[in-house]
Amino acid sequence: MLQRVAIVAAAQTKYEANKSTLCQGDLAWEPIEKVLQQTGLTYRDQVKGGFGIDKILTTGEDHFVGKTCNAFWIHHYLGAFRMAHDNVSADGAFAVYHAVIDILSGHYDTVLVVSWNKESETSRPAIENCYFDHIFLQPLGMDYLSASALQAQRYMNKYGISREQCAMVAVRNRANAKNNPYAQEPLDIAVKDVLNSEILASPISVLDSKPPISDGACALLLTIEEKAKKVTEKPIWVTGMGNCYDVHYLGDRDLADCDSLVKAAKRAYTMAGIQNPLGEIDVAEISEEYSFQELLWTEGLGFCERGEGGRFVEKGMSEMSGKLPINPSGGILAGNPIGVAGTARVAEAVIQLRDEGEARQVEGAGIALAHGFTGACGQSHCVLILSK
Amino acid sequence: MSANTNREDLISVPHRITLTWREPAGRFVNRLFLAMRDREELWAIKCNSCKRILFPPEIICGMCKIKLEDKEENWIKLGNEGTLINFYKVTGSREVDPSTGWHPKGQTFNPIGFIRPDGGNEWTILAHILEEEDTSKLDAGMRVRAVWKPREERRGLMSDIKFWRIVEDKK
Amino acid sequence: MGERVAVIGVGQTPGKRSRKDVSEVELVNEAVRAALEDAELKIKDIDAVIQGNMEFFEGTFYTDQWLVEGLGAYGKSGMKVNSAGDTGATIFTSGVAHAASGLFKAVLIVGFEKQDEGAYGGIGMRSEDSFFDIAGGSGRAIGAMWGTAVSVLNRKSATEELIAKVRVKEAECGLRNPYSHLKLKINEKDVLNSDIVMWPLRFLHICPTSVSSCAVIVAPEKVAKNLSPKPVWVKDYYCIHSGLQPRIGEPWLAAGAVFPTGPQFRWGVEQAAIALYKRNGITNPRKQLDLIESYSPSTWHEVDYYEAMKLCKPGESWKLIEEEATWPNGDIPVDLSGGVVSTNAIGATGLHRVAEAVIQIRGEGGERQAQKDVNLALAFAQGADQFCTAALLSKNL
Repeated sequence: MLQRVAIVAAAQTKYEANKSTLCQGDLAWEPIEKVLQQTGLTYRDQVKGGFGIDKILTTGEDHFVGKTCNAFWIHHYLGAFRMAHDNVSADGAFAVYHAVIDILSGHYDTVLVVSWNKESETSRPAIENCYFDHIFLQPLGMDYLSASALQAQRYMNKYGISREQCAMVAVRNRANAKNNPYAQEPLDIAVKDVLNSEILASPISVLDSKPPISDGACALLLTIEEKAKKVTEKPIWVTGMGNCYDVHYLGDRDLADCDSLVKAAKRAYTMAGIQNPLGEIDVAEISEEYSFQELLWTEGLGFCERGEGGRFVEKGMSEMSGKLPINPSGGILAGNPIGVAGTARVAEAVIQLRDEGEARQVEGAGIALAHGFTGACGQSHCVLILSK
Repeated sequence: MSANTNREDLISVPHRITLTWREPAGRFVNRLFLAMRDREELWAIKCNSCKRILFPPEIICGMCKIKLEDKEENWIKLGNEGTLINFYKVTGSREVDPSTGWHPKGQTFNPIGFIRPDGGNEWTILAHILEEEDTSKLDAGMRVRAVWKPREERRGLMSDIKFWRIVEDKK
Repeated sequence: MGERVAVIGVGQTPGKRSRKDVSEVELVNEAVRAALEDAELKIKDIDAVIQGNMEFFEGTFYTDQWLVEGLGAYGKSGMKVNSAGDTGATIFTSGVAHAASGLFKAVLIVGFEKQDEGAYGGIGMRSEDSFFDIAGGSGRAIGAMWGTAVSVLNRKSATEELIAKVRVKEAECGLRNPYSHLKLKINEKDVLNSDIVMWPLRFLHICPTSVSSCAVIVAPEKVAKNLSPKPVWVKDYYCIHSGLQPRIGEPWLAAGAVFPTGPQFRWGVEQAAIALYKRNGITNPRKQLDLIESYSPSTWHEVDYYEAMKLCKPGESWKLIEEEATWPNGDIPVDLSGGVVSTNAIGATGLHRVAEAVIQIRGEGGERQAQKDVNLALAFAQGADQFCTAALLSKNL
């Protein structure tokens, strides 16, 4: 990297199924306020200059807000007056990526990333349907659940992954969530509970899935090296990042593969100088909406060989006590809104590296991986490597 | 098979999204709406830093970028009468029926007024419907008064005010 | 400091009311192919793609994911970025940032809007605060335009007749631009007699809703110099929001119409201009800029912007108009493409401004080419009357 970029603050709200007393602006303001308090910073005076936030990136999407120019409606809450602000219409991990790009470009030095979403205000599956190509797949009424079920069938069939192995992912994530004060729905469940829960779209059951609705917000502040130490003693460096697109039409790729994740991860690892992910990464916060996806992403990230995702989890490799703990926060499976999910992964990775994870802390974490995806079945992926 | 097609042969795939949204009004606005519904009162909030009196009340001042404290002294009760600052009327054919998203024939709209309710300052502007349809009878600077719907029809929304009526000079 | 960046390719599709002959994927592909051809590159030479549009208009969720093949983005880095009406310029700055970061060799930026696919009017109505923008048929964008128009009249910057004169200029430029949507042969009387939409706005003053796509390729300095015989340098860019409250009742939104002591014209545009000029040693924009591509969704905006961009003193736009200074043969030509009143495909529009400025700097404008040498151009976009994203483009480094 040309220049060292640090994440100097991270804040989240508790994730809940329905934050009915808060409007979008109230919600977005919560983590922003915390970030401003954590750093003692405010927005840069564009005339006088000085150290302050000079750009805001959001991760909104118009359909969830029900209005065009989604972020514009809460501009004043974002502090956007007199500021530069753009909206990254993707998962939050991509916005963090863009923040680093903005800083590396030399054009900005302090970027605030704000993600918020209130899925409770509308129908997420109806919006997911609008992701699919309008000519062939959308008219079938597909949503992320049905597409993911297709992916699960293909993946499990190709590599002999069992429902039990997928269930282990759900069990672990929900149990980890008990240690996360922000988590929406921690649960004490066993594999048999997952297998016995109602099937949503075969083979995905209720407990294999994230909670259907989630409201919440997350904010991060990134800045350049010279300024990072002014606001925190524990800057967390972005040492590598990568993102990548795959094809769109579900039939154009083998859903048991995740080529775009493999490429995104490779870009990130190359930049960060990581040659042995399993050995060098201490903790990973990755984005899965359905339990099987964690196994597939584990393979794509190179934590294990292709087809070995099931055995990886069986051997306890991703447990808190395992070789590479995955999702100490409980991840999306414990409840995160779309768009916010990736930002939350980065925030949780930052918490780990700052040794602030408390009950969910992975001891001695020095290098973390944060991951997010945009598009059903993981069409685009974004991987970030963070280090102490 | 040739790719050339006549316009009549172009197939469009129909698609309809049915989405409804339920937005909470938010912490401060909820209070405003309840006051409107129950007591026909309009409330604004003041930023002590820049002195703007904001309607609707916001939880932060967009200009100063500070939190507006929920203290009684910051809440300003506005009058039900105010000054009409300016107004416009849509008369052209481009307009659209918000409930259907299409251009209806023969639909007319009342003028929209920018009103400063009494008690506000130059930053306090409320855009709302004016009763008087004939713009030649409207003037910037006129006094206008809110006409409220009866209590049983009020829902805690801006439409609880039916429109703003010109206050006749008592000469 | 990041790398310096140049535009090495531009491609546009002709603006149309409707393009039922192509899907969105095919539409963007047309612009992408045109840009690649212009740059003499192949898609494999591109390593990042930035796309933008206003998703609500087409009812597409994470649009870039569907468009991936049309964009040529398979296997590449990239994402979708947007803002408001200035989305086209926003994605330009995003692409430039990607190129300046040093991580990419050539970045493809693609904007489009295909409004024939959505109920635009209905969506326009949803461009309103749910609680406080009492619709009454006002349609937010038109309501915001009203404020600009009234401010122009209040400041005596122009009369309705002078506005008509500018509109005819815009129409004549549109006729000379093969990519323009509206090709209107109109005279001043036509403009003065056109239907009143919302006084003083008339039908002919207002932009159309168009379908088009625009693609621009940018590269960092070393790559640009290697790959392109005619790089156009991105000297600087600036993004600013003037949003205090998003509603139609927001005082600064309606500018002088409602707030006599506040900013009288599009404050965001003025601030962007001031910042860019200060950073780039421009003390006399009328003299030092050679051309402007503005984002004027109505003729009133163009005139308003003459003052916002400091081409003349406040209240003196009429001088520029009478002198025809902003005409193709003038000393500071504005919108020789025909401007946004000729074509407005929102996600593309901001990018078309950049593309047209690049074309002018290269001297490739054909019939619409400025009659003077264009070395330094300002291209900007504004959105929702509260965002402004502006770029300074120059022939020389």
